[in-house]
Amino acid sequence: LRTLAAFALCAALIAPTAGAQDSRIRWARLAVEGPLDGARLDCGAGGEMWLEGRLLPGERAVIEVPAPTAPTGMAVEPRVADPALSDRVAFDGWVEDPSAARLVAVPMGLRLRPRPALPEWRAGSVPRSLLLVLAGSFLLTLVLRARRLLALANACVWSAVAVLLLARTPLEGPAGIRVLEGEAGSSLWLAVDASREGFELGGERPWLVDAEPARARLSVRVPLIHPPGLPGAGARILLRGGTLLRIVGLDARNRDWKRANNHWGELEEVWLRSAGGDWTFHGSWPAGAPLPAPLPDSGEHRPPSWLDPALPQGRSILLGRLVPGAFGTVPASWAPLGTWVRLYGF
Amino acid sequence: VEPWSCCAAWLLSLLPLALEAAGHPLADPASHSRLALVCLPWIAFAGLPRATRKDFRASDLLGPLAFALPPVCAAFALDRAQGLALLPLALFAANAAGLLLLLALAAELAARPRAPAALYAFCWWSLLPASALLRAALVWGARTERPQPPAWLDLVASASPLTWCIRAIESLALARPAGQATLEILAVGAFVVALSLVLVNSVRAGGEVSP
Repeated sequence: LRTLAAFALCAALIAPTAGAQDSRIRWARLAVEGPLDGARLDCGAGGEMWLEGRLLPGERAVIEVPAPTAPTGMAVEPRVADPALSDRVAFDGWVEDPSAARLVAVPMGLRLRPRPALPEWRAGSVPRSLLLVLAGSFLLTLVLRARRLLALANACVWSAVAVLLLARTPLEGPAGIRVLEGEAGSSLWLAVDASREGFELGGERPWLVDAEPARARLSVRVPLIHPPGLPGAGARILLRGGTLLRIVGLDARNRDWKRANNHWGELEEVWLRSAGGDWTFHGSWPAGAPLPAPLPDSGEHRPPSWLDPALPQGRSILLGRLVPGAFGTVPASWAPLGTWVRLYGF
Repeated sequence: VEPWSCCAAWLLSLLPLALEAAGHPLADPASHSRLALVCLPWIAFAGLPRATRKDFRASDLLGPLAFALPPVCAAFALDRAQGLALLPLALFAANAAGLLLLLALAAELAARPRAPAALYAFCWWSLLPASALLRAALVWGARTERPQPPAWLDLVASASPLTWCIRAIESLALARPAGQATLEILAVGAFVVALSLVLVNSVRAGGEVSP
């Protein structure tokens, strides 16, 4: 009986935090004092933080900043990199953020859902004109090969042409995507943003920030002056060479979504997976209208593989892409993918 | 500088970019660094044992550099545009340029009359293609993603500029672990090694090969 009681106690302790994930940021309080013209703070394995802006002599402020934490979740007190500024930028303790606790309250199936993977950089993004430039450089270097310095100068010119050409030709690849993750019967949804560049924080603090690959170091840029009443707003969390994820809660109580009526917003494309695993394409779904009948399968419209979940089997799933502007706005560089809805148990 | 050997190295270095431009599925830019891929043939090419020659000038070292510079710069810009971190890329590029010059210098010095050309050829062969090839053979033999070759071989292979470059192909690309790309990368390395083998054989046979 005592063993059973011990198991029950352990289960009760573990259950609420099962699947809980450590965020890659933790809110910290910094006491800053002028004169100060920007500063860099080291946050250990998590990354670094830059304070941007200027404080005049005698000006003082206490600011709340998102400090990068290590992939293990361990937070290191931000420490100013320049020792000469150590008396003007001081760590003043961690700020309790209830967001992590709110995430634990989300249904586990929704919380543990695989994160949307941004489509990989598409092969074919190298402009073919680059190959022509490189071929031209090779031929001319071949002609000039007897005069070494001239050949090297020629190579430098062609290198500059190649780099300039690439600078003027943006490589193809979406910068980010927003996926609204929903579960039938749950009034709380999650809005998951995945970005290759980073985010700017607004008034609402993210419930979770994560990075892929996990070992990636974050760079946080915080303005010394923030809007009144919105501590931390305007801070930018940046990551290069990876994907940054931001999760916030979404109140879906007033947006009951049924097949008879679309209460969310106009969808450009809709796919439905039956409990048996068969996909059907339904075309566009206007707001306030019932779900359109499935269109004949011509093989052209397939659900995006990077959003098509393998699991769970035996549940119906709706995948849809919202019309731009139908639910909030996303940065212009995210336009190729935009905002998607993934609803289980539809 | 023999045009045909420059042409071979240039074509090999451009192969990954051409495959990517053509949209070939083998060219997965998320799993490798184009810069390291482009540098690989030039590193193999620069130090090839050469036929004996009397008139060595320091400016001869600029020849391979002039041919390699445009593709390397283009690969660097492509990697940067995809979001790879600047510092590791710049460090790799600087190291690769230094290595290329050093290898070319060693090859030129060994090609002077009365220089220990055979000893240089043996060292070059052991340090560059042989150790890398042996390690690749063990990796393929094990048929696993992360094999465990003997520690001594790993140590020897680590000293090989080719292995250094092959490892950088994956390690510079932080977007995600390469995994599936490993075989393709090793295939490129093996191709370079095979080409080197042909050239060395030509030199030993007394041909007129002189990169």
